[in-house]
Amino acid sequence: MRVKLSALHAAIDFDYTPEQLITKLGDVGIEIESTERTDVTFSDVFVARIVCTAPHPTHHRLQIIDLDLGPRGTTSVCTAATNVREGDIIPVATPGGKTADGMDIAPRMFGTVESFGMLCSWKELGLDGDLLSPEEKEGILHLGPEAIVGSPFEEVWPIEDTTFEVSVTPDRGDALSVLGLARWIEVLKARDAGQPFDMGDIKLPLPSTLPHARNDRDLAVTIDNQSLCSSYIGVLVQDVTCGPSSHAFRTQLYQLCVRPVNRIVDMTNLCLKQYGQPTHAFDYDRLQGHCLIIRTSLPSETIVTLDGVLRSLEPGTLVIADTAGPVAVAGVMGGLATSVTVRTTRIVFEIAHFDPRAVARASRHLGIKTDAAYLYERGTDPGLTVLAVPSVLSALVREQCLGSYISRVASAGIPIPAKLPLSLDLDRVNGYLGSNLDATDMQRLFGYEGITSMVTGTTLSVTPPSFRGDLTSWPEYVEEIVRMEGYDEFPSHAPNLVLRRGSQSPLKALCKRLRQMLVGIGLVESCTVSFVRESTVTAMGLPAAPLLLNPLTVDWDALRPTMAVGLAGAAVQNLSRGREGFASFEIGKTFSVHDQLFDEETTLGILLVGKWQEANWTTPAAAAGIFVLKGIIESVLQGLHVPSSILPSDSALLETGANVLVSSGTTALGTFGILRHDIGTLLGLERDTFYAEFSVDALLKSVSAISFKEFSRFPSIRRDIAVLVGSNIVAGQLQAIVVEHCGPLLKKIVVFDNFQGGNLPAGKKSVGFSMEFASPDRTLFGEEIDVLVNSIETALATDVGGILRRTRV
Amino acid sequence: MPSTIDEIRTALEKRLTAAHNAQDVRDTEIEYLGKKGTITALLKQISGVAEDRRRQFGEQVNSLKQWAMQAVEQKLVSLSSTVRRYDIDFSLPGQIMSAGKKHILTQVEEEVESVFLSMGFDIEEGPEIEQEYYNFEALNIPADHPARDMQDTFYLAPGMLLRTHTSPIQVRTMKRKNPPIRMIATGRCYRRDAVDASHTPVFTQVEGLVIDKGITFADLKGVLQEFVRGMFGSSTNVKLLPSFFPFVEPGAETAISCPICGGKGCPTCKNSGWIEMGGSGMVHQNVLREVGYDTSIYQGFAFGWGIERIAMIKYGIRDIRMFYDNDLDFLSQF
Repeated sequence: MRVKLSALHAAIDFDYTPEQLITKLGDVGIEIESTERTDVTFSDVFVARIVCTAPHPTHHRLQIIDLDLGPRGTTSVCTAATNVREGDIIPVATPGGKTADGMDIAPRMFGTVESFGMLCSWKELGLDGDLLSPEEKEGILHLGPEAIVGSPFEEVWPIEDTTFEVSVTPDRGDALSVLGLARWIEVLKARDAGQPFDMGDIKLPLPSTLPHARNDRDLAVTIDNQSLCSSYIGVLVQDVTCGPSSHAFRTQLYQLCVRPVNRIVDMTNLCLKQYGQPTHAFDYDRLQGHCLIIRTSLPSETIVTLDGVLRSLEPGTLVIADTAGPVAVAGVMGGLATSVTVRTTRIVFEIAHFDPRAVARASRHLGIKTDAAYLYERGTDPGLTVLAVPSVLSALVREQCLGSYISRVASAGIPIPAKLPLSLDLDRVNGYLGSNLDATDMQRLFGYEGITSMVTGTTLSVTPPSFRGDLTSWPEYVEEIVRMEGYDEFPSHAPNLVLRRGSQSPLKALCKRLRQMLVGIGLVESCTVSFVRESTVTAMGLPAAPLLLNPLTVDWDALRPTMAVGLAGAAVQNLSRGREGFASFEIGKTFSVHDQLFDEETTLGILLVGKWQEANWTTPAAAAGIFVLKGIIESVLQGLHVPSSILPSDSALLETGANVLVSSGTTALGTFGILRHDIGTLLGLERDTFYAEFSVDALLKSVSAISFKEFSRFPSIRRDIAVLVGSNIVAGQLQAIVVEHCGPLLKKIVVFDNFQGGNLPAGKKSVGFSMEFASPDRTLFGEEIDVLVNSIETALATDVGGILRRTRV
Repeated sequence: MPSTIDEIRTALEKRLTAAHNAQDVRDTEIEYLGKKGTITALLKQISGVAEDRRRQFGEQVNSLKQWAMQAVEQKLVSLSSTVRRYDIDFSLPGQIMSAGKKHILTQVEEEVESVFLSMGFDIEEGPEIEQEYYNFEALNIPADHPARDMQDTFYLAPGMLLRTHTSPIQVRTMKRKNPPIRMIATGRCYRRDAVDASHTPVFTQVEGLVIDKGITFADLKGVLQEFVRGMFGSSTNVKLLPSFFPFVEPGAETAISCPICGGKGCPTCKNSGWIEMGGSGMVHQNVLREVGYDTSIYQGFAFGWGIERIAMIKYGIRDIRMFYDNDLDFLSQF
């Protein structure tokens, strides 16, 4: 909410500087988000009356304007403005002065005519365009007839001021008006002075009695549902003549940061902004039966709202109806059929108190957000304000000559029942706060806010003022104690908690281990958004991803079913900046949907592309490759003590033949391989990309507990062999034969070579194994290992036609 | 029959003199001092010698052993005492052995978790696709409450949404466990905020909850103070300001003394000396009732802070979008 400091000063006297006010309001929970100071930046601009206008003799676009400056005499100017006529009251910048946009004013010749100044528009005066009507922003600014001719402009328009942008939490509806802010300033003053809250310090007119109420055949008000509408007042105004508001009223609106429209709208806006009380104007003559019935809507009822939209009402919506049907959605928006038009001669102003939840429900159901609904939802004052605003409106009607005659006030639901007191247990309050306040302290603190209290033994009976709809339960009063004592004044101490060890889930712990291992290997962790574009998922050939009903953008309309999209995006971001490669992982949730049921899984994605570790004179650049990726996966699985095996797979993300499934027993852990090139292209990666995706949930199931295994303390013996075999034989098959024939003495086996081409016969390859043998209980003899190697040789020859090429010790 | 002690000494001396390399010395050492070595054999004989000569014999054998050990060590040192001179250009860089990096959000999250684990808080988890009930209703945010506007929500289906905060984990935990509760939850949350320097629709929160008999508002302040000092340094202070969150009453915004300027005033804290970090308060009675706790016995506090916000303040990061861009120039800094 925007409001100017001058409007607050008009409502209550206070000595706080703007900076002090910001801090003090912040301390009680009203945040001033920003302030903007405006100063008079023009000089020698005066209010003038146009005496006569005449065309310029040679410049056909110009007029010569003779001006009356009252006690300052007369002058004449040339202007190109077209919206000026005899009798208009306008601002003129005179020679020696300057405009807000920095133009120095001096006499100037236009042909043979000398001009002694410049008529000003809002821009030359530095006014806030947001607070001006479209007419006021068109050409020269027009002032009302009450502006005193000859006055300096800054005396008739409040320029020097500070504008506050007030931000309040949903429970502070009572602060959403000038009156509300003035009340809080009074609370601050009361607290500073150690005196109770005094509503009498508020300078805004707050008549506490209604104009004489009559429920007769001119206007009848009936409340059918008292629980949703506690009071409703209709003020009937006759002989209405609409038009712009007076100059004084108009400048008051400027201080309230309200843009003027016409007298009727301006009045309703003033009630809203100054008192926090929404009002609505009906065209009396378009109300069927001249009655207003506050009731809930019936099945299949509709209304065309002010914005011209036909809306079907949810049964039970609180509406205002005439005999023909709904004429307004209570607290949200009026109907078009009964709205005020240029032909309107009689108006009914509505002043009411509606149930916040009823208004909120209707506003959300219909998707209409209005200032009135915003206020009603946060709770309006069912007491003083509802009583005062009809009189305020009546007075405005008289002042602004809107109508000649206030004929009727019809009301229902008045008076407001007094709020029941609530009982506070003093010990409970102190036990909640960790404080040591006695009844007198609490009464004093409540007193600053206008909460009345009475001590009965160890309890305090408290009653809130009518504008504090937020105070309904004892913890809410506890909050007021803290608010008034000062949040920061409250004691702080370490709680007396039982000594214990904090715990975390095995899944969480596993994620931390995985990150630690992958970072140790040299990968960088990415965090990418969880959203993807549905069409991307479809183009990738993946099953449908969960869709958002209300996405922020089409690029993010689904939840990621894979980590690949985000990681590819991170890779593209880095490659596009000239990096040669990217190797990264991400651990997070991926999502799926089956038969309307959503599921999420903790997933690890690893993506390698290009040269991912820099080279220097000792080290060549580490380049991404399928066996780099496999090595990473093997290290991680070994580190976690997860036994695993691989099988060809059909993951939609990976190229055929470069697509494997990693399992542990019967549990599928994940897949890895070369990212499909069409997917790479789709995601912006036009080069070989290696990708792995693992289910961390599945990994968790496969992690085994570590237990010590006895190891050999005797020297080991090494043997290297190379086998020449047909190139169709896979290394794993050869290794299985070797392992089988080595028996229990084999401690370790490594593939040290895998070669094809060169001097080798066509269709053949050479695979080298380096083996390490050891016994748990003795030193081995070379001869016994030779025997093993011989048996391997025989087996390889028999099983796969392999030839042992050399043996090395 | 073993040789005499003097003979053994002489023979060993000769062997060591003749040794040309360390391996010769090691072989000799095994021959004399190893498990089956000559001197070891003498040591084993001590207990079999007649009592009147045992003491003298024992002393002689032990002294031989000591001499032998010294002689071996001296020979090893003398063999390698040739002076060598290296000429190395130490201005050249070493071999690259670069570890990767955990994402800065992970680092901060783990740091937060470790501070709370050390205070005996459990880490709880919950789903990111959440039921409206856990995200809103159970937290005292009914469907028509204006507080819903505070958190613009992504929906997947009627009643199913992306959690807007980690608070539903509070509800899930309290429904599962009886007091005392001492927990935090960290995780990804979603709000339908347009992307700018201080908003992303995906962000990370840490949520805390303590419920027991006699937990007070003063305790909340004490725990936050402890946490803040663990995260930002021991001179950091906490200030509470009134605020509103539907699931707490009294509710407070938590500010910390600016860790950048030490509270003196700087651009980061907008010259106020304080930086707002997140919400907190005493858990609302409606929330406790909803999970079936007896509000006449149990009470407690809760708080929720943004991990991105903590990281931004701690490291002076100005734009939240950087966390999700994953630029190596950014990630490698932390």
